[in-house]
Amino acid sequence: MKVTVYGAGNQKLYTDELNLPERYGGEAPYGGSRMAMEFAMAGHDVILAEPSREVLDDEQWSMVEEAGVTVTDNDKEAASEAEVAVLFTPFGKGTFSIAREILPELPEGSVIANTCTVSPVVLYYVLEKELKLERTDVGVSSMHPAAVPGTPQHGHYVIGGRPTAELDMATDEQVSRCAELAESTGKKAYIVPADVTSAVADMGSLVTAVALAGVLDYYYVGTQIIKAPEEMVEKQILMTLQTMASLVETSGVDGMAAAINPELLVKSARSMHLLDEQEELDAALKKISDLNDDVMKWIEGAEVKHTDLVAAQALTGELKTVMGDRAAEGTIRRCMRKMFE
Amino acid sequence: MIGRILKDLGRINGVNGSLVVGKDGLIIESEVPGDIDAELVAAMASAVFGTAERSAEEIKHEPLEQVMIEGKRGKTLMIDAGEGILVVITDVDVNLGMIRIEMKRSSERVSDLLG
Repeated sequence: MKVTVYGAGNQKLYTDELNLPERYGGEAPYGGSRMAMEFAMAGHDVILAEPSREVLDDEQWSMVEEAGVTVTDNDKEAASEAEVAVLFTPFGKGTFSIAREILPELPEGSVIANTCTVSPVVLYYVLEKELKLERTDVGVSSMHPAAVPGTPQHGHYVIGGRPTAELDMATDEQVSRCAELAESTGKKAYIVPADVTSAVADMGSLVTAVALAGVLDYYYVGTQIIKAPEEMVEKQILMTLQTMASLVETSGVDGMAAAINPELLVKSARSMHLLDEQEELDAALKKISDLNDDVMKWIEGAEVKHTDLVAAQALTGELKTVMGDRAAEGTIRRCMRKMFE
Repeated sequence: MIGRILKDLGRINGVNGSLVVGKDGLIIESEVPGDIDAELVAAMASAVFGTAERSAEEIKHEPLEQVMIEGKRGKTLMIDAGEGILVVITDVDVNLGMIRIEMKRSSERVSDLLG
């Protein structure tokens, strides 16, 4: 397979600031350059496009080239034969501009795969006009390493499959191609809906994991111990997650915490300790009870801004009823795009 | 090709600009004055047209033929163009009959091109 990886990864960040060799193990080069090396060692024709020579030292560049990777600083040229173009590029706008630049150069049927710097759905929305009008053959998926490539934790890839929303982002063959590339390096490929990859693969997966533990705890206590109707329990879970998400969106984490009031929350949530073993609740109560003075001052100084606490799916359903599916879908896409602009 | 159709519409007396937008609000082609935010107008046109279509359905007046926004300083006309919507922006005093005929003809060509 012909593969191009965009972005080698900033080794100073990995080794000096994050101290990966000591903290997680593995060896530099980490990041996109390591992905490129692993693809090449699996027998693929690999180009690594990196305009900044200084992100790796000479020894690291030698390791990349000895692995069989062709290095270039020309993004456009590197795209011309890429069956898979992997973007290990800077957060946000940097990635969008590289994607826009290479899109016209990609060969027929190519697939652009994001990694950790942007959601594949947002990337799709940003490129939507070109993908719908000029390059209907090109797909958008993910090759999300969900760990830093080069560390022992990187044993899998998260691949963006058919999204939960009806978006025609990539063909089944293009998704399979990404999975095949991941598996060829000896790593497990998890295919998940493209619009879910960020929640389970990005750094925010910490939030997803802690929230999921809380959701499952309450679902069990609510339905099995209190024996409340499942629908009621699910609505309460929805309301809680929606309230927190909306407050973060309008007022930031400090504003959300101010509105919630940690002291009150501990008292209320303690009364939901109905089983001997509710470790996640114990951990949360301990953590929230022990917030230090600096954190409390930060929260107390926060402003809680106007927030429309509305369930997103109910809102989009209403939009579809009022203005029709197509206009509503366009509105939803613009909102998604704005969130990441 | 669609650009050419919009340029021809722009030659009609009183027409100040025109756009073809997808039903989802994505701009396909645009010929509007520089002081108009074409992307925003495209999004609004899709919302207005979509809501008008749904209203016509609910009132049992479907299918929707056209939408006109009439302001004191000008008019905005929208007509179905298959996968898209043809939007024409005009002065207040215009020959609406002639513009409608031209829009109908143009929308059929746009509809064919968008296939």
